Amino acid sequence: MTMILKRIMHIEDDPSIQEVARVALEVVGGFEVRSCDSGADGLAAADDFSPQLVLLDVMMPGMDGPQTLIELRKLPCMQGVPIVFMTAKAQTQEVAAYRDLGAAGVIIKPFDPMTLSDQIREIWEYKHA
Amino acid sequence: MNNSDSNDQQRLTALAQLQIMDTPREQAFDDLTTLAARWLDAPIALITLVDSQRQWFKSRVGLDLSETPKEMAFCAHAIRQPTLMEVSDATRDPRFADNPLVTGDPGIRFYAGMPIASPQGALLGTLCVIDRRPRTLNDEQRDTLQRLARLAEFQLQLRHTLLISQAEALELMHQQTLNQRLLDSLKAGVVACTDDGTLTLFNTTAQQWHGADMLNLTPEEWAHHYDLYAADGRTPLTTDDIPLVRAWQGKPVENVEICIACADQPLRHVLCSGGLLYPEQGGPGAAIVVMHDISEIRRASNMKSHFLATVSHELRTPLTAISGAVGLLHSGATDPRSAAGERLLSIALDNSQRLNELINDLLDMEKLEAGKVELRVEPLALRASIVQAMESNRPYAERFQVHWYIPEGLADMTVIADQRRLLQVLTNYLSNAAKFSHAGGSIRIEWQRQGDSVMVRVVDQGIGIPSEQQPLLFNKFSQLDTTDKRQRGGTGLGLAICKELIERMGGRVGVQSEVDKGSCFWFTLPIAAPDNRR
Repeated sequence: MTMILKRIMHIEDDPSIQEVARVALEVVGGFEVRSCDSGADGLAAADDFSPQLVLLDVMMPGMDGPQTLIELRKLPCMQGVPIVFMTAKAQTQEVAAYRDLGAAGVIIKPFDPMTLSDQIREIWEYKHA
Repeated sequence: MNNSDSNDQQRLTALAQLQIMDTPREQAFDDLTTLAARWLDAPIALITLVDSQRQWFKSRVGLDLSETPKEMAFCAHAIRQPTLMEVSDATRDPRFADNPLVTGDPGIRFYAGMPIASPQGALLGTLCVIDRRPRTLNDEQRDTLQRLARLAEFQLQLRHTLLISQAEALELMHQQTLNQRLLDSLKAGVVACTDDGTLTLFNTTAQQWHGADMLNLTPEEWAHHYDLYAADGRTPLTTDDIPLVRAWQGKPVENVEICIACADQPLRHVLCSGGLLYPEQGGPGAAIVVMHDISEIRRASNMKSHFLATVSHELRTPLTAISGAVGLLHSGATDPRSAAGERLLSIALDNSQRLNELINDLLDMEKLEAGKVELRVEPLALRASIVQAMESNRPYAERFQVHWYIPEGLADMTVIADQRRLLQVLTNYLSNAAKFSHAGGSIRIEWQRQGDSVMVRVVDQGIGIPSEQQPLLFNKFSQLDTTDKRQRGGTGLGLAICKELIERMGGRVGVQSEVDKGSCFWFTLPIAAPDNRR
């Protein structure tokens, strides 16, 4: 039986997108969301929040998305937690590179807030099928 | 021109071509005159050459004179026909009886001269024997004189051939010098090898690019020794992929891109074309490859692609926020009249403005680059312009909780600038300073005269900028390489636009900054001449 997805950590430096995604995931998807402004914030909050899935921006100041993914993977609490990139940088070779890094999926910006949760659930279920 | 004149002209031309008149004695000719004198039992033997004024003796035996006037020359008569001319007793010959050479020294009585022809057939002079007593030659002696004359002609032929060879060698040398200078003046690199694969040519450009001269290396050693890489700049070239090796093997080399690494030089992208020097003989064979440096084109192309990808990303970011916010409101997931709904509306509005600013920046940059921005420069009061910019950007100062001020005691100045564009630059500097300052921080706007210019400085106490990023800040492309641009908002084109505008108004821009201490962004503008002041 597939475990139910409840806790999503969203790491995104743009406050507007962060807020829109939060509303979409909480209101439409019914998830519990922890929004983080940067990769460093995400790393710091991971243990406390224990996310079941991470939604991760790619282009961020300081530590970018791929680097954040690598660092998150080093945390014991993040072992096996699917990490999904949400980015406008989604050309074929870029998506392939994210997958090579171990991303569970890629959601392309601009995203549809009404179907975002469904997209994430699909990835979750595929991962746990 | 009669026949005699024509012969004279041919002779003079042939003599000039042979470059023989007044040359030093030569053993080969002296041997012939010595043998002629000996075998024909004559006290005097000469090889004469007749020009327009004189007969000159290329070789002489038994005579101290080196030349005589043409009018006295027996040979001038002898060369009128290609056969042996023999005078048994000059005193009895009306052509020569009065000749001073007969009546005086050397007292010629007997003369026998066999004409010597040039390689082209012009009769140049003779091999002749002279005696001071009347006599005749027997048939054997005549035959000897004719054979010796032919040997003299053979010597002239050798001289002619040698001169041609020397001229050709000189021409070849000139051609080689020309080719070398041409090769060395080319901005393209040229390399070549012989048919056994030995490098035979590196022009100056190729030497510079490789940082080395050509060495005696096998083709298998080239890629490593000369640091050759594939177009990706990382993969070492295999021997078979080296353009000169391909050309040497007789394979086509047409616009093949490779990279050359060399210490102290940036990686160089070059486009190679070449082939066999003698394609009809097939490969492997001597080959040549010409390389054109396309590093700048590649860099510009990469920057353009990167710029487009980044701008595309920057356009999508506010669009994502707008469409997301509007989507949530439109679907009814959030009530527009709720606090959350109002917040989403505010996000949509803010990001619409951000998108608008971004598009304006892009259009501004495009117009500036295309030279389509017309500036209306005029004398402006600097203080008033700065105060206006501070006022109109007050919301920025409030939002980021910073305080900006002009120090006391600064005298006003009149600058030459476009008012609207000066405000645009000041707005950019002030908003950047606000965004990079800590809450509660101060921003000082000051100016100072520097010769015919005034330097305006916007000094903050914010987070500062690492030194390695400072040279890139005003670059419209490189600035976008940084990922922290979102903290500044917009495309990151703002400073590039400022630089273009200030330079168009006759000024300069720059920055001094220290991490954690703050930044000073400055620009200069020309000061108005006194009679231009309002």
